Amino acid sequence: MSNLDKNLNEWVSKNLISSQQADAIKHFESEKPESSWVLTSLLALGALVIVIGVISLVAANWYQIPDVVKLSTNFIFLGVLAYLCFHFYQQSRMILFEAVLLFYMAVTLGSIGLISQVFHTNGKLYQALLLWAAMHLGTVFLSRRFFTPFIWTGTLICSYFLMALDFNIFSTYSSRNLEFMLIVLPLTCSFLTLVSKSLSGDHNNTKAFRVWSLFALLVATITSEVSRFHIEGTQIASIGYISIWVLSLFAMLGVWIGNDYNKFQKYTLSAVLATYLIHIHLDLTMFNEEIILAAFTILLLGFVAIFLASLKYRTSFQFILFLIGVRFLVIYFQAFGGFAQTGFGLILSGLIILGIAYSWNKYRKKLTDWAEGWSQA
Amino acid sequence: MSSKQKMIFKLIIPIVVLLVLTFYKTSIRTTGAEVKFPITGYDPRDLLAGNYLIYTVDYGISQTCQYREKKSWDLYLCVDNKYFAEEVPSECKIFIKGRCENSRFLAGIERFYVPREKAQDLERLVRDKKAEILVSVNSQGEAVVKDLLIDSKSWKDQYSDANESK
Repeated sequence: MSNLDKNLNEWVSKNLISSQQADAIKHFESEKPESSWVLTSLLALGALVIVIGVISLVAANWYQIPDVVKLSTNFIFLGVLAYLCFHFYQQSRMILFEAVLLFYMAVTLGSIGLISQVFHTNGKLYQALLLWAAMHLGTVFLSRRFFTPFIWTGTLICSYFLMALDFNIFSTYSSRNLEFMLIVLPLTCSFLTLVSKSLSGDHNNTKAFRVWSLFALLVATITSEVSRFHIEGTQIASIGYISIWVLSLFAMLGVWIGNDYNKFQKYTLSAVLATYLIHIHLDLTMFNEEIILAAFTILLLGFVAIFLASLKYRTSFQFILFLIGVRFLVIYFQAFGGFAQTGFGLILSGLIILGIAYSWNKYRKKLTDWAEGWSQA
Repeated sequence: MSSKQKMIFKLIIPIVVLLVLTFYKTSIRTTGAEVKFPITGYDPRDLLAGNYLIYTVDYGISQTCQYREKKSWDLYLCVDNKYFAEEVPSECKIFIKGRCENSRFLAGIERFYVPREKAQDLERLVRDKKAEILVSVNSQGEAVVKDLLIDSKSWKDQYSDANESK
């Protein structure tokens, strides 16, 4: 019995659909043209083998191919891809358009590598990535999907991060520079969200920058807790420290100006920012115990989870809840130290994990509904 | 500008940028003055890094660019009279524009791409014999590597000779 038949029988037995409707669905499905996955797989496999063969041939004779041939072929290929993008867009075949557009963008990155190879240039990775991002500043706005802007914004952020690391912009000490970079990154992403919003409105670029802000916030929170980032008195006047506050101001402005969020969401995001700022300053205060740091991490994650629930991003909300569960587990290991690694300790740890899993499974829907309902209140 | 034209414009920009870059590099390569510099391994144990050789260019100048507060800054190397200058050395016929980074003068010519499967043999040749790079420099001091020379012969010829004698 196929899955469809099983499902239909179950739905009929639960009175969700009538048996006539079930028959109609079966009839409709049986009339559909059969897609031969064997044929499709064989065609795809054949094409893949040919592509691998061509790549192997070119790679084996790479240094014997004259530079002019390599570069000309590359530019012809780029031209064809650009034409195909245009063609599919005009024909409103949007899935093909998006796929070719992404491929075209990827090939241009490869072209930068090819030019670098042909002329033996000694550039840095971030230079190539920045050039790529700058070249596609217009192209990325052609995309109507989320994935392409997500990749583009991610590349831009990544190249900025690598460049800032290379220039040691926040500190002459590489490790301190890295710490500042990580702390400032979510705020920088928020600032870029604000810039993107004012320049391109609600294009997916803005949404992508928002997602990167959240991702950077999680990375920075975890890193600052693990590496115990601490600001010393002498650094309060440093460019890195000042950047934290200037960018926080922009982030706050970004939240409160405009109509992207309702009042509840604005307050929640402000709470996220405030908790984050307190979190990174805890080592300056006398409240710098591990347990207090952990409490602030959980509080921060809690605000993020509530914000995501208010947007009805259920999967993300549940992922943050999962992180909160993990953080609680880490607290247990921190609190009990060596005991947690003994036989009894490990049994207890296992039971706690099972307990979290059970509670998670039982209450996640209730929690989601509660958080969503609260945000609508 | 119609939406169709705007779309074409946006799609063509990356190709135009890459074409300009290619023509610019080609113009330096074809019209620039040719200079040869001996090279040595930056790290004698490991000249090879993936698909390219990395090396230190011997500009024939004993003076290194000096330490400053800044990690790196722009610098010019006068090839004729062998000295560094912070401004364009107008009395020099050939000069190279670069950066002083950690007391090393870098002009973007410290890397030579080689086929991966031939890289190890080539590394041995570079180490055992007299290796040089042939560089083309334009009037603005921009330099592009034209070839890797081993005992004054192009690496491709030298590699073929070495293989034939095996």
